Amino acid sequence: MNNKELYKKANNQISADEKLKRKVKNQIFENKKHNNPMIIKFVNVLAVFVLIFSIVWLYMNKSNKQDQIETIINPHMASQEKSLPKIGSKENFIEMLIDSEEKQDNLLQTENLESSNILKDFYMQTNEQVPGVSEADIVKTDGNYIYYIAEKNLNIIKTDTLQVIKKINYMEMFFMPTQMYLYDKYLIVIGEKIDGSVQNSTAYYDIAYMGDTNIIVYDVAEIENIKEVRNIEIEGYMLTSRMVDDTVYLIINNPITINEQTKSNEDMLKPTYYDSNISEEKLFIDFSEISYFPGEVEENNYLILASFSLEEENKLNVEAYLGAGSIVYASKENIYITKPQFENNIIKTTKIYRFALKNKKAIYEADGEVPGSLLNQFSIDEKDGYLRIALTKTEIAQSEQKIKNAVYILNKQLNTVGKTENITEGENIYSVRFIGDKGYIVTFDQTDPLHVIDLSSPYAPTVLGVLEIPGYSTYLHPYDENHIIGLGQEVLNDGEQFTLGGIKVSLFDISDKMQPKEISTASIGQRGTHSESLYNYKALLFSKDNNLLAFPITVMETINNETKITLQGAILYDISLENGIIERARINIENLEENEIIRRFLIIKDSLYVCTTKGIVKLELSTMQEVNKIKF
Amino acid sequence: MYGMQKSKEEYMEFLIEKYSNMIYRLALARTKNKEDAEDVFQEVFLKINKKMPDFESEAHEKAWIIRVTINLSKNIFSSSWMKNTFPLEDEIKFEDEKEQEIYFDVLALPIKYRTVIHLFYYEGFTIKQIASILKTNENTVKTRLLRAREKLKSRLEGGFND
Repeated sequence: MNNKELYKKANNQISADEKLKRKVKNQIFENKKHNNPMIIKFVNVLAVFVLIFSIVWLYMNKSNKQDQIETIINPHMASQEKSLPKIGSKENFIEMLIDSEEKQDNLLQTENLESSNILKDFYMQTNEQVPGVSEADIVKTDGNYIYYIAEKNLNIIKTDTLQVIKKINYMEMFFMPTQMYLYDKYLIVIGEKIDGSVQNSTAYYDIAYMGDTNIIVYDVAEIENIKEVRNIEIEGYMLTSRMVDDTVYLIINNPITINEQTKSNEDMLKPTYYDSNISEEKLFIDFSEISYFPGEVEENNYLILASFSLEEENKLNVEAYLGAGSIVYASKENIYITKPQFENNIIKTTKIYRFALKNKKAIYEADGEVPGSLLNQFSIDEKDGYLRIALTKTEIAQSEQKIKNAVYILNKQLNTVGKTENITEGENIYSVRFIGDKGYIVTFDQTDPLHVIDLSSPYAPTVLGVLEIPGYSTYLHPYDENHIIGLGQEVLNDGEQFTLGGIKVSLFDISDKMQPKEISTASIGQRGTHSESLYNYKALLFSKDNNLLAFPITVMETINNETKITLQGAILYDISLENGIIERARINIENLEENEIIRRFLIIKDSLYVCTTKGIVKLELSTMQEVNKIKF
Repeated sequence: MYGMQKSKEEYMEFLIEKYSNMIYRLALARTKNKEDAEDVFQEVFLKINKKMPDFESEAHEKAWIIRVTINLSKNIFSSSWMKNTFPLEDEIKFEDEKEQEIYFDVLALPIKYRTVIHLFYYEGFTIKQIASILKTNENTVKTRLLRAREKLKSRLEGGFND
């Protein structure tokens, strides 16, 4: 490394500390608020004292400890302060220009693709939170074939004929598939390793059984001859995963068992993994490779971040941390892992760790903390390097619980830069969605207020408008930039009390941010009506091009004092700004077997594929007529 | 106008987050003293807040802030009567010994040399840009850079003859 680089690297380790920044902010902003010159003088005098005090304090605290902390923290802070890359040479410059022209062309092409629904290869699958960040699911399609995990088997079905091309039964392999990704010619099946002892017991059927993580990668280029090309095992159960471009990221919790036996055998305490691309042996992560977060070593758990690429010959990258994760959010640039911190059985604060996705690896860069707890992954969103978080604070004052909701905005270092705390009091958050520079939060006590929060300035988020309507949404889905769809629960008021009704779909107009409006609603069923989509966004299908909203449903109705299931299937709504929400079809699968329910929907070309736990039904989109169906 | 879509307060917040490290690093390279660098740091932001120029572009904004930092760190008579007497070498520790050496070798140069070295090698400005920031001509910058390099070379070679 030359001297120039060394000088750069040295400088990158120096940074203005947060105290100094805060001091200058106080000077600037305090002065403005107090216009009284006497107060300014007083503040100045005070500031001098504070300054002297802090200098003395600093002076007295010049210990090695401080230096150590700085060198640990600064490289991360500095990494975001990189100077811009240089063009370097004329040749490079020309190449860059050509490159950008090509990119523009590509951009135009994809725009066309998205706006056209008559394209032959058009297909629609897993409902995902962030565009460009794939989420694993039980069904995937490439347009020609449907890959579907049902009844613990992998079924590969030809889309046009619904013919089952292949069925893989994993029972013998001690493997329980749970979800998949599809990337180019690779099918990545993720599941749990089944311990031989539980294979035939009820634990095998118990969803709560958490075996070690096992991944099988297939080459499906020749569908008649699919090949297993890679096998990966990681000790611990998978929390979640994401795929960005060609790289799959896995987030795994691995509980550590500390007892006399493991204490005497060091290897039993180490996290292990296996990758057929590396060796036939199980590999141990050495203690020298395991990181921990200073001051938080209370967890008897390893948090494992593993990643592998599908594009090139590579080894599984595994990073182990002493810690644990719960709610995970990922953008194309970062994975954020949160961990609730309890105090007196209440989630007092939530820790957030940021891992940057660089060179096909997730690398720890920063951590921070916000008060309160989060609802789910939609409580978090990243935009322009800022993280927006909707949270609920529960405080106990005089043995009474007080609930307050807030939105916090954090910078890359995960320091809070802005917040708004006056959302509602005494109500829990039921759903959150951040779209562009707005945030939408549904809270509920007896009515459903939809709050619109302006986030255009990360430093000063503000509540703009509130809409109060009966019921509440548990999932918010963007319709377009001025409209959102809410899916939730109907709440009835008979004048005396509130009771839960059926399921309600709302279309909100949010173009006037100060006054959001509910422009159309539809409800179905009565108390007891349920849909997986209420709490699992992957089970819902929304296609703006087809004006279609579909979700599985079990409808309960009371007719002549008798409460019974009147529909076990799915409901499809026509949803548009012109006509609002209109019921288009109900799918009541004939000869429905016991416990057969609809799990997912796919749109491929002009057909709707309804995936049930036991088969697939193909419908023509325009008429909703059944074309074909299959039972596994 | 560039930057004016934000309110003044938001804009100040934004500038503080964006330029803190840049200002602090340059101020430290010039003053060679943490307290002085911190003073310069605060002065720079107070000055921006007071003046609030209409920047035409990000490049203009950055160049203006660099110039203010340079001006305010010109004649630092530390007003603090509790001036820290620790040498900077004891206060800043780098990850690597070599980084430590080169950093303090640069800091050992006369102020006008270490300034151009910092702007050229660390901030990545061109000679033309440095000339405009320092309100001088390009040849002066070139000469200073050349001298600075020569001095560094002799120091480094003298220090690390293998």
